[in-house]
Amino acid sequence: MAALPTALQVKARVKSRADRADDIALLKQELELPELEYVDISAQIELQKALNRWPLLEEMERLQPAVQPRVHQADFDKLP
Amino acid sequence: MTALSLRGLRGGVGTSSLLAATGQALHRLGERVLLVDMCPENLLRLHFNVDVSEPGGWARAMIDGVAWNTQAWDVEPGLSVLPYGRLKLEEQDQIEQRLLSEPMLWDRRQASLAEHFDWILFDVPLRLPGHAHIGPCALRLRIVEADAACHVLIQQDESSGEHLLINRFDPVSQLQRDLLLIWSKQYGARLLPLTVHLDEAMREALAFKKPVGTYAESSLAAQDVLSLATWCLTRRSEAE
Repeated sequence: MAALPTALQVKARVKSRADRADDIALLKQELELPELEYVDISAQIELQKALNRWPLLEEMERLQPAVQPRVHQADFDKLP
Repeated sequence: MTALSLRGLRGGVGTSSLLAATGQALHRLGERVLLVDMCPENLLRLHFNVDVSEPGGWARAMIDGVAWNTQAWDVEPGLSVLPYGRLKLEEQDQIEQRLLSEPMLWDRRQASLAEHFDWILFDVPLRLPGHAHIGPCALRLRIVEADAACHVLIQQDESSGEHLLINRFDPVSQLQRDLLLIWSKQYGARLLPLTVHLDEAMREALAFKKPVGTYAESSLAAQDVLSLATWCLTRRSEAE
């Protein structure tokens, strides 16, 4: 049976693809600043758009305040 | 020996086909695998070329007073499948009552199988709590599709110890992409870092009486399932 290299790369605690792709989490770890307040605005906007597209998802979201985006897209017409 | 269970969040999400494929992929990676069908629908065996008319299985054996461990089929050396068996509705109820009154039954069965297999994979039904008493299980996966029904059901689900695996993912669908984004934020590490893509080969595999990795080795679904099997091996190593 052919050996698949993927079966062997399992020695250390392997970070998931999502963990590795999260630059901000890696930066916090590198700087040893786990409490650093950082809001990924573009990700929050994408999440908000996804929720706004579907009434059921929006309704469910109101029941789940944990992932409520903290930032909304700016409306520059209303800025002073 | 490591136990892995797959259970759909709702019916029809492709759990049995995914379990058959995962068992075959683990076997391909050199593991000794037993697949156990806990579902009265008794479909898992059909992925391994067992005759449709064959009535035998572990639950049938319990009703008939026959030894349950004589009912498995060796597909290949190191790959076996234990069907549920064909049971009438009232017989299924009898098994459910028996499993509820003897919740340690599959603990003992697992222990007796441990030296023969590296993995035991359980296809667990939705609404039969007795049939979900499968003994110690290191990896429990809840199979979902990225649709609105599953979105509602996940939030109502109380068994948060299970990982979530998206089956039949279609990246062309705006709704599915949105749900993947939302679930990634909402469920974090509980959501597996891989999805199994929508692929006609998965449906065709059952019609061909094979797991997808045997029926269409180079198909997208087969490659995804191989990634899933590798993820399972990784998780087992981390647990050791």
